[in-house]
Amino acid sequence: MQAENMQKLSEGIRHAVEFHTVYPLGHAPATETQSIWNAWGVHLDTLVWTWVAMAILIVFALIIRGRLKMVPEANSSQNFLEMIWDFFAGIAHDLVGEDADRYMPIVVSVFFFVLLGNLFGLIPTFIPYTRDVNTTVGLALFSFLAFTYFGMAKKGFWGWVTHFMQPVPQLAHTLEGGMKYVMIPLLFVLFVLLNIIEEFARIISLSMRLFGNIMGKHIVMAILLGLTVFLSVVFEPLPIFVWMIGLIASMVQAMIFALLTLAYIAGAVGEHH
Amino acid sequence: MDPKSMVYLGAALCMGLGAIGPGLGLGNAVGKALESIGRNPESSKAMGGTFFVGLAFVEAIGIYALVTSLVLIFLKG
Repeated sequence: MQAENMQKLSEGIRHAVEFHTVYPLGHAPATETQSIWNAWGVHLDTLVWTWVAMAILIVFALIIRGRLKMVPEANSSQNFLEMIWDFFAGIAHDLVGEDADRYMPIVVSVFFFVLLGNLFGLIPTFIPYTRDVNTTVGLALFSFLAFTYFGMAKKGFWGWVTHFMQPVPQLAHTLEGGMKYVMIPLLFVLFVLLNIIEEFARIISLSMRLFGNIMGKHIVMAILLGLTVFLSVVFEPLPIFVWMIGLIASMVQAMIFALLTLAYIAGAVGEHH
Repeated sequence: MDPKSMVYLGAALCMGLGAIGPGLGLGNAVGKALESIGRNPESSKAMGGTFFVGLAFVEAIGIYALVTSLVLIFLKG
């Protein structure tokens, strides 16, 4: 019995980390080393579950839009949406100022997409599509496009380009003496590199934070729930606590992703002090 | 030692050493939060948003170590 429980545990872990890959153009990798560079493979399970999540979100949005009320009732879905919208709108108005409402739809849509992706991991046969690094990198690239586009739209193309050298004009006023003709170009090069690397680091940190949290949570939940087979004889509700940790982490990570997108948009659009 | 065992050794060391920093950081952050609650019990209302956001940022550093270990195990071993 020990052996077959261990086998079910490893099967649970394998189910948590494996993807169902199809090759629609028929080019399956011939050898092991080819598979990393094989760009013609598609993770079909991730793709199908993102379609399911998109369908759920669009249907709910249309239904709620059909019965909008000026004062929503106490426990309705419209009230729930307004609660989430108000949470982000409060932070947006603090960070951006007047025209925060332009940036709200993208931020709240990203929040709901990531939230559904994370919460799918808590339902038995569903797959949390954010455990796939392709989804999280795609979302992070979308955030990058969003804050770059909004920065360019607000400040113009040259305004956005010159923001890469940003701390230098303020620093240049504080330098004096003969050395400043040498220091200023050095600082210029340094800060341009720093800002460019920061833009890429934002993409990587956003995607890896979400991927690592959700994939790690999925694996850890698979292990812990496998272990509760042994321990739930002693303490019956143990799987519920494992599930609750996953629930809290999912919601917190969705909020972090949307909040960071909002902060990056506000940073790209805002004025420098 | 052959490369495959080095991969597993590296993955284990990466995650193990990478858990020291976030552990210290999270402990410090929660400790200071509890201290401020002890000094001024009404400050527990402020714990709602900022506290958890800060915790998630510190946690993410440990998650980067986890991602590196996972990449080592699943792609190289």
